[in-house]
Amino acid sequence: MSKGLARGLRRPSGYWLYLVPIFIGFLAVVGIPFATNIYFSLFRWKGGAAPMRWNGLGNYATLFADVEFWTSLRNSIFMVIAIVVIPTVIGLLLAALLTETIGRRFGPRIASFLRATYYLPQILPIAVAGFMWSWILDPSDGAINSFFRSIHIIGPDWLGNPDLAIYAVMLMLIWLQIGYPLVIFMAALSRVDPELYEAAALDGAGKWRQFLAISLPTIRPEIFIVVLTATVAALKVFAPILILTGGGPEGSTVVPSYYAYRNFFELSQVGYGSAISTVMALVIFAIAALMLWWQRRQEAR
Amino acid sequence: MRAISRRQVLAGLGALSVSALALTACNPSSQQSGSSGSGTFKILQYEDPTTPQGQGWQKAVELFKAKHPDVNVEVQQTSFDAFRQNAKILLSGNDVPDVVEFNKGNADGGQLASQGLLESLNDAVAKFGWDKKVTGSMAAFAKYDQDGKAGSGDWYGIPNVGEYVYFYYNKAKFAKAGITETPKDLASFETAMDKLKAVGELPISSSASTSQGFNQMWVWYSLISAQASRKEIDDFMFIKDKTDFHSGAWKSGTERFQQWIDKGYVGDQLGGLSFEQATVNFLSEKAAMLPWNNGMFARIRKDASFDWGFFIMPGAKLSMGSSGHLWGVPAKSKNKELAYDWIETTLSLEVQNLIGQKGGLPLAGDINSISDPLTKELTEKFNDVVKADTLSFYPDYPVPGFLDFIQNHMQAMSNKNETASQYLDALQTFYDKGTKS
Amino acid sequence: MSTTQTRQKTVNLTPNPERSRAHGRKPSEWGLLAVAVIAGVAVFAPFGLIILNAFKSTQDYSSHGPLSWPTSLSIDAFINYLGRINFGQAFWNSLIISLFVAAIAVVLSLMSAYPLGIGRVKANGIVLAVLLVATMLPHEALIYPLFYGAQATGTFNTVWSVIIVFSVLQAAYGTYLLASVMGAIPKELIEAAQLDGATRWQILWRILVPILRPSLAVLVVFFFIWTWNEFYIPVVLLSDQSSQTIPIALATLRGQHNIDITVLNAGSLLSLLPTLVFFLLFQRTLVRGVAAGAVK
Repeated sequence: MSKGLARGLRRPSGYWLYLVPIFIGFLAVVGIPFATNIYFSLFRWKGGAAPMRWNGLGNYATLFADVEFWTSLRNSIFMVIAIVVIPTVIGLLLAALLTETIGRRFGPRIASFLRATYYLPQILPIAVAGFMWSWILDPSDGAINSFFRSIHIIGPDWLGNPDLAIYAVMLMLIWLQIGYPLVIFMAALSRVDPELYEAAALDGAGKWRQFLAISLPTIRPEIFIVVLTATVAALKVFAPILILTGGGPEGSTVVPSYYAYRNFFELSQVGYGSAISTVMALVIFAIAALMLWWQRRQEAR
Repeated sequence: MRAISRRQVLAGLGALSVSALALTACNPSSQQSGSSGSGTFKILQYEDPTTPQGQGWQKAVELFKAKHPDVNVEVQQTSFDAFRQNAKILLSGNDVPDVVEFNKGNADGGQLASQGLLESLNDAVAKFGWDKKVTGSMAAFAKYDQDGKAGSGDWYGIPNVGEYVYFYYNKAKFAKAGITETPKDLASFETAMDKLKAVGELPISSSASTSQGFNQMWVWYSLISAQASRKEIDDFMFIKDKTDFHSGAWKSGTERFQQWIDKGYVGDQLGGLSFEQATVNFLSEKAAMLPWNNGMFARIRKDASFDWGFFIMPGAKLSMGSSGHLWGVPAKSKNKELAYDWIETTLSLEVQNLIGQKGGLPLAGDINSISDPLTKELTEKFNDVVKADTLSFYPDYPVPGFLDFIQNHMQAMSNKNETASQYLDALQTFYDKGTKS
Repeated sequence: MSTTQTRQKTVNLTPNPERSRAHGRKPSEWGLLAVAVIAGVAVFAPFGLIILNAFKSTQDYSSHGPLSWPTSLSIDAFINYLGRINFGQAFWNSLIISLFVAAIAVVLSLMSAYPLGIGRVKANGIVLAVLLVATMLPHEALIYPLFYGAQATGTFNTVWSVIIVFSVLQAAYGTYLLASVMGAIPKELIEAAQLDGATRWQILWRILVPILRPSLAVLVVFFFIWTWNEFYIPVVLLSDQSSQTIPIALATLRGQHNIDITVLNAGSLLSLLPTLVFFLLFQRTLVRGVAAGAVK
């Protein structure tokens, strides 16, 4: 009987059943809307009950010549740095610090308390976070420039200078994002056997070596997860830009999602907005597929 | 056993989907009244209930309920942003409110009207005589033609109040700078601001961030309006004759705006500031004046710890201001007669007087019912400009997306990255493109 | 996978009090603690501003700016907020939606990740990539189609439209995360269970779920919090005030040309209390040890 069972379980077809619910949901919530989105992008349309006028691939042609769109793509790179690169690195270091050093030497309570603190920005409503950051970044009386003034430096116009605003936005995004990798990495690090660290310490390995040789390899799946999902999030980031700068000053902080939003709702160019969304979804899909393929290859090794 | 477990899985899935469907289909408690017949009357609006207009409307609800005791009146509170984003989708759907508040301007109201999402109010206006109460420039953005352009066409909205823009000023700072009386024309205004600068005061508190920093835009447009003719503004607003931005008040006003920036009248580092920050800067006495509309009147009255006053742009031919937001009846509304009655109630003397007493600038109130002298002064000045037909509205009305465009250039000019002439070039291009339709 | 997992040992993070602390903490460790605490304070600072301004009167805030201490503590902002918003109803709607989404999305993720992470169905990678597309679509692009879809299915203006939408969207993320984690679980575990006669269903619930508990806990927390703070899709699907959620209610505080900052701050504080409580409750599960490889 067990042989029959084993054969049956090895047959992959039974597993497909488990995917049925999400396929249905995906079709309803994502598939059909995405198809509709592509459909809309072939028209010029003001939305609502306005007439839809066929435009073929005209919207896409306009898009590829649109300077503002390319600026927004360039800004996406900054977004990736601010949402993926820096928070992941900080998250890794903090997670190791909190789990291994502080959790072990000072008690898990302090580690948990600190983790909750770092995670707070993630649960704050973005609207009010934006207001507070605009006060912190205020050029004359904001917290940052007041601090600079106390050490006799004149702080710049963080949000008003078109060359600097993107960095100010990045600062707020890093602050927002740190909690996410931290929580994931700390949960992942709980998988590591502490005796491994002790064994390594006995062999003479310092904290840093232990981190590189033991912690990092163990939580590789989570690192992949964080990097991939954060990259997707960075490429479609929207609300912080809307709240903090509205794409300004002088259009220097426009990101693709925000550009699409403007077209949808302020400029009433729904077709064009749909084209932007479609292109962005394809770009994100391509990058994510690449990263997934890379992850598969790493796992196979 | 294997077969059973697979069947169990299938059964489980089936049960899940059936129950989900069942729950979706029959959920009477959360499917509120709206769609099911005329028993409920739904009002959708986004007014802060603590403002004069908001308080007036609460009174109107009382009166309306008394008139229609058998109707279940539901007042829904949404936000300005949410409604502006969703209006087109919402009004083209099935479950539509019976009467809505919407924003004036071609980008908002004009779109709704031209897409047939709002009912034409011409008949109701004739029946109730609303055109006697809402007249002149107050009616300008209540009417839209079939292209969604304001100024002519059918009535689609009815305002209850008006608004106008002026300078709040700090009396103590003016005294300190030796300004003995409020300026009477642009030249003396600039002299006054020079005096303020001489004693180390920032004359005007301003802001220019994209989504929230409207002060600069209003200063710029006020300077245009100050020297513009009625025709120049009307051509621009209602897209009549061609507007040449490199001539007339457009050119002189924008150049003067650049001078004001260069002379330091409005301060610097404005690109990241919001109107809220500009207001707080004025209230915490970091600047002598704040250009804004009567929407801030109650707050400044409550929060200012100093003596203050207000004056319209000195010596201006035209100045900024318009009607308030509009009541409209969605084309798919199921209770149109009740909707007309509601609008009539909001325009009734009792409600309008209440709004007036709170300082809300009603269009059909009796000025003598206002007892507080400062409020009365505010309302009188407003009534004067309406009667004289010297209101120039707000600059972003004519073209969708204008607001963002202008804000970008306000930032560029405030940062001294752009000259008046470059701005006017861009303005001409954008406006021509947007009004080609 | 890596050698750390062949060890069949229960890992416990709670340090043995006698052993670690008796060794005395090195100065470098105190230094590291200081760094962590200072970083924590820096992260908390903007949040502190919100608390500060929620307890000011509007006069105080206007006259002294947002960065000053309150001259006197006032709860006017909270009273105003509760007077303007139907807090109880918005809270209830948000709670129902977030709880249901968290629960449904986790179960959905588990079920969907199982064939991808363990079952190794063909076209594994493609399925995952396609699912991830769900997380890639900007929400603004989904608004029009979702609106018409919700109307067509009669779920418009009910919490169910939002629950279904976000269950699917969050589950796409959860599927990817769980499939990755499942992929790292040693095959021997599963094979041992199969040889013992366990069905696929039993393997999922009796063996995998206990191993995955920290990941599941992470997902529940994330899903709850992310769903709680969602705005752009709910505001389209929930136009009726009776079905409004907290973020939608918060947005009504912003007018076109005026805004009440103290009330907004007070409202934000009240709004994030539930998510904070939720996070703190689940923190304990995250810290608890994991049976790395123990089977029956």
